Amino acid sequence: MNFFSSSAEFDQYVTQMELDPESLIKVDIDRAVLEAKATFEV
Amino acid sequence: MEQNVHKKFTDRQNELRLFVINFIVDEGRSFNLESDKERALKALSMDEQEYEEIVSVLLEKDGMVISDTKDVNFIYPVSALATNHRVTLADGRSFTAMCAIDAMGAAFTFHQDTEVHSVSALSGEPVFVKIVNGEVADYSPKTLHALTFPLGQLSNWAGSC
Repeated sequence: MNFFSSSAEFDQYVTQMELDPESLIKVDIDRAVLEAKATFEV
Repeated sequence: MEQNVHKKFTDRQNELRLFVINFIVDEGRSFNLESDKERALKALSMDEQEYEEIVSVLLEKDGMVISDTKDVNFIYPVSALATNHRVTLADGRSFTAMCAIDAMGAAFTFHQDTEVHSVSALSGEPVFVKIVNGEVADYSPKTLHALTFPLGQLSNWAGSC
């Protein structure tokens, strides 16, 4: 649930942290705001 | 599973949830379920039994996370503990959010324009996102990405931050 400066940084982070790529989603800013609205809209 | 945090709870449960959220933002500290209880009871015209029942539901459904001393440290999307994700509301109030998506989601919880100042989790490079009228008005860097999880597959966001 973090920000990354680029797509490549995201990929590097997932590898370093040994995260399961199948269990998470890499989103750009447009997708991120949609996810944020879907989850936190009151 | 319902992904929208607000829809997981009843109107009355959300009244207490939003009271605690605003308490943390206004006071700049955790809401203590015991020592700050009276303020909630008075503000919401709530008796102690209803308060305890609602607190149980909020905890059971991962609406908030408390410490051993009953401090509400996390209540979506607000964190009473310092994080890398600082949100400034249009009304001038400021707080930290648990995660990147939580920080952006504050615009939809408070129904206000927001500015998010954060850092890249890997490089530490500054990150900025401005949301106006529910849409991204500005952001940097332009190659910005975020990590999130498939909708509906996550019940406890705090455990994933």
